[in-house]
Amino acid sequence: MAAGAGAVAVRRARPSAAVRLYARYEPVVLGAAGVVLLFVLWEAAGALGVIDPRLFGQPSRLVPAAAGLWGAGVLQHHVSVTLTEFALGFTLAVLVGIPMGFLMGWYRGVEYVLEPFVWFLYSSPLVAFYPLFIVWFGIGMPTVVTIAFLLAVFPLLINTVTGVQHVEAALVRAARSFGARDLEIFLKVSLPASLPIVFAGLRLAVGRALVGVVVGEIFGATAGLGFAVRYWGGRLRIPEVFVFLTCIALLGVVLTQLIRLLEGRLLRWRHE
Amino acid sequence: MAHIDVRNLWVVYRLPRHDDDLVAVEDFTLALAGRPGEFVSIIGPSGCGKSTLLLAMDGLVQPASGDLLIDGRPVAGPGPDRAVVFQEVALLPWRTVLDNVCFGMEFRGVAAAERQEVARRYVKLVGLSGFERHYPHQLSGGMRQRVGIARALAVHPAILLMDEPFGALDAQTRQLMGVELLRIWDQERKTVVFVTHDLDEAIFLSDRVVVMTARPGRVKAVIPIELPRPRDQGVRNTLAFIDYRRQLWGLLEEEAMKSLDLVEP
Amino acid sequence: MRPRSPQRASLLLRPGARATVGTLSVLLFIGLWQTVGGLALIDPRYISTPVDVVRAGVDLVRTEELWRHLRVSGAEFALGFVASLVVAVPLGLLAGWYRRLGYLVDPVLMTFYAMPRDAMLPLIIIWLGIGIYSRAAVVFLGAIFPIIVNTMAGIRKVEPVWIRCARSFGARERHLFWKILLPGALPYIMTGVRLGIGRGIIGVIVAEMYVSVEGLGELIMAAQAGLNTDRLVFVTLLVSALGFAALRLSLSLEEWSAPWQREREL
Repeated sequence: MAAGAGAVAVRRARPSAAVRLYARYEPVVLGAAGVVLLFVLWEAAGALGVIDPRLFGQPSRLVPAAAGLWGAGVLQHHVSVTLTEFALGFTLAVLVGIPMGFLMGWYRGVEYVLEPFVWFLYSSPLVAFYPLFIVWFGIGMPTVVTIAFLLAVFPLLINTVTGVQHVEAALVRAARSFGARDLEIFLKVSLPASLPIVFAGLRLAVGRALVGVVVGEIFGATAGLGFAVRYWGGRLRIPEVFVFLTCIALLGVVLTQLIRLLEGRLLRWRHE
Repeated sequence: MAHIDVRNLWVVYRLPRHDDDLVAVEDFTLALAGRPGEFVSIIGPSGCGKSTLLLAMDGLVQPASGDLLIDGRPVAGPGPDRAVVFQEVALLPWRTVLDNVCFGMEFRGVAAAERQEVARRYVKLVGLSGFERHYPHQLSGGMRQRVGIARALAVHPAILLMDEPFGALDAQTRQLMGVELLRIWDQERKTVVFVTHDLDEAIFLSDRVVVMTARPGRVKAVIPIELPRPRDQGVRNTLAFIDYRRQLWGLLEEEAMKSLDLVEP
Repeated sequence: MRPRSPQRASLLLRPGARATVGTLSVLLFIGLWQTVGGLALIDPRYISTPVDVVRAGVDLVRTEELWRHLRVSGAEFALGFVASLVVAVPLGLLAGWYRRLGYLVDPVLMTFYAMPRDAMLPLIIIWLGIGIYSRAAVVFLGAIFPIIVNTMAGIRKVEPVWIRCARSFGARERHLFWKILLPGALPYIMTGVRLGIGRGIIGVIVAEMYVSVEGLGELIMAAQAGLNTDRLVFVTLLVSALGFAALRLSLSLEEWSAPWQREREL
């Protein structure tokens, strides 16, 4: 780039097609490179003896371990248990959290009555309650689903309340001036206008429900990915542990991306 | 002093993750033999690149090609002889009014104690005494822009570059800020280059108004505004003022029509 | 925006109504709990009663047992959290400022961010044993990713016009960092800190329950093993109260760091 005296009025040459293609996909290319780099370093560190692959695993050892687990049907079993528990806990959280959130956001009385409990439980590490749940429900799916539900429901509820209460007053006033009734205002103004913040709650809820399921499985279950990590970890089968951890990580990414996709679909009117 | 010479200036923004570059200034030429302490406004249709031009004068954006000289010297980057009052005000929300006014001096090697003292003086000059400890979010739009002006003046620039500083204000505040600016300018005679799209504002404030064409940006006319100073609100209703407005609008209308075609997709 | 309040609801608009109704509601809940448990409508071995819970708490405080466990948990949390802060903030600042570095680490970071990292616990025990370091490591892992990710976001959301303004006044790179980037990103860093504290507390409890040697988590496990529901409920409520206090504290820190931002997502 030329600045100042004597520069000739010539535009900078256009970059070549390849450079422009790279520029467009740079985040994807570099991001993939980052992931590959991580695995290569891990593999190399094990091969060169920097870390002990028996303790810290090695990507090349994961593949046979994964194949073995898959062949025996173990992997599928645990994934499906975890997914079922997640689906139950998350769905329950949505069914309870969003309507309750709207109620609390809409009716001051309901909000004041429930508020102390909601905030207390929201900030509590609810995992600590699991021994109580075991006493109540026994070991297995009900306990895991309850923990997932409790972890997920409060961010959802609190964000929904915030969403309803922060709908622009002007929008509500406009609807009222056109003669809309409370129910119509709720359905046509408050509900859609609060969706962005509700979705922020949904995103948090997905993450927390997954934490709840996995931690619940570690402690109070006989199946699922969390249980599997504990089980194989106890037998020092590191490659198997990494296979299950990878599954957990992938599950986290896929579920988070799904909710983002849904958000993008439903909230197309919102621009960055 | 304050001789601005722009010749065939191009400014091209390279957008990340886009195939096309954005041409912000296209073949701009402007020669301005400014007198010291003169108030010059640049008006032109939207998209003629006048705001980018101002930033280029400060050295904040690098031209892709062309010449940009101030007092015969090419602009290589921001320098102590120039200061900008930004369109977006650009106050730091975590700093108080006083600390925001100090901000510019911090890079000019001014000692801390002196910075405070100078800042206090300029806060007073722009009429914000008593608000030193306030944060920007506690101020109105007009007050914020006063802070922006104080911050720029506090570094004692020879040229004050103002990029549509009152663009975000409502019409009444905008007029009052014009009066205020003249009052401040009367006490601190800087050369001011003021970019705006508001004809009345340009006439009210300026010694000369430069009318730019749509792309490529050229000087269409330079109109000296010979209204007596000091000026007050009343001058807006004089026949001379209205004549200037009619004359400038005549010059601008054709360009504005052209730029409409350019702007619409 | 709420619906127009009918006349009978106007009591709720009085100042102090929120606190009054909230307190009454909590008292009512405690009374109900005491009644149901005390009359054994539900077996108190399942739900205990408020009076018994308080009694169990008094016992724990008197025997100094509680303080020992509390100290251990506090030390683990402090160690893990400070370590995560020391690593996460510089890393987040770098990855936020250098665009290409950000692209490079983004997917890896996001994967760890989205993943329930407490699941790595069995592995961490294998690596670090059952001492304080493995438990601090769980806190570290819990807290570090929210802080990195939010710090990165904070840098990316620093207004370009602030940087432009600083450059115009002659600021250099290091000036930019201290005077614009760090204070500009601070509100986001504090959001990360808040989320990190939450995850860190979950980490402490989970790790201690898993290892079951010392700390509040161990106290919970021991109470469960001894079928001491009163103590179990007391410690669980105590842990929740600590979490609540930590959240309130970090929320006010967040507000202090950015008084110009009123609304935030929780």
